[in-house]
Amino acid sequence: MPGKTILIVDDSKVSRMMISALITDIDNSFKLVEAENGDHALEVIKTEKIDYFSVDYNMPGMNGLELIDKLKPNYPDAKMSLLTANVQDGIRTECDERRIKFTDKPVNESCIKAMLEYFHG
Amino acid sequence: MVNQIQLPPLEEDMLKELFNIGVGKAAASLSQMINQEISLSVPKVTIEKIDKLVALLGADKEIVSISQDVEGPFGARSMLLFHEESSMKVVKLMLGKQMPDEMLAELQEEALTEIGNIVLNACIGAISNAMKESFNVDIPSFQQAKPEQVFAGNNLESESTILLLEIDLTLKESDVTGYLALIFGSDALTNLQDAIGRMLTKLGAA
Repeated sequence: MPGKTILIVDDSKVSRMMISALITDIDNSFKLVEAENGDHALEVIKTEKIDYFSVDYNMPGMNGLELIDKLKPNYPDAKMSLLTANVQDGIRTECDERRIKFTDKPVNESCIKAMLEYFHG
Repeated sequence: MVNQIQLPPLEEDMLKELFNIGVGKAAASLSQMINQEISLSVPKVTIEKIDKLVALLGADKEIVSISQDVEGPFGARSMLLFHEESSMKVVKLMLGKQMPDEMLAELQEEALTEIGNIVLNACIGAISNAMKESFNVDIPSFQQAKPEQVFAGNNLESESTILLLEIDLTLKESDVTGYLALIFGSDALTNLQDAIGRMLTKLGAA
């Protein structure tokens, strides 16, 4: 699926580096765009056409679910994954209610593979 | 001398069990990040003055601390603590030994903050799920200094009384020990006891 773009939103530079490296290792056809928080992500989407979203939950400013709620009206069919260290059941439930994927950190090959399979599916 | 926590035995047992569940998940997450087995000490639950924790860590030793405030049925400050020299080894294990030292040094704070975020959230998440209660977890805060300065930066003066849940995480193949602590102010203790009481009631034990 060439030419698809993933927006990686995470306030941790190390996390963004690891997510990007693993995605590229698994499938280098994706264009990767990064944002370091929700506000930055909302700026990025003004100039980039995004197909898939990988969004951290716990970030300064708006959290990942608040960002997703802002994105959803403009991207009703886009696949989105909350990629988070917050493994509480309540967060999983909120993802289910929004019909987005919950992916738990730590970032590793298996969680990134699962996320990409969800995007492809 | 360390004071033993003044909780009824069943409540203390439940608290240790919850912490065990949390730390078990936290250690599993850390182990995945650094590809190394981690052994856990038996958890200690004590009422301490902050200066006891300073002495445990070594007053003259530089430490790194990643802390996150937790709010929910009870409030607490969760902290992951490493001695400075150990923290660099952890970063190296996480990011790969082939990364140049200057780049490792540049990424040390970012990497440790993310490690703390994952480990502390794993611990809190496991406790939350076991309790069937929700907690808000603040974003992680990184500090590097002598223990007393770190705790002063966390508004914990040497005379502050805290309920300390402490566990040592030791990497099996490296000379690294970390400490995971949940620190409760004295006013949070009642809320904590209430939450544990609710759990015991659900279990039909109270």
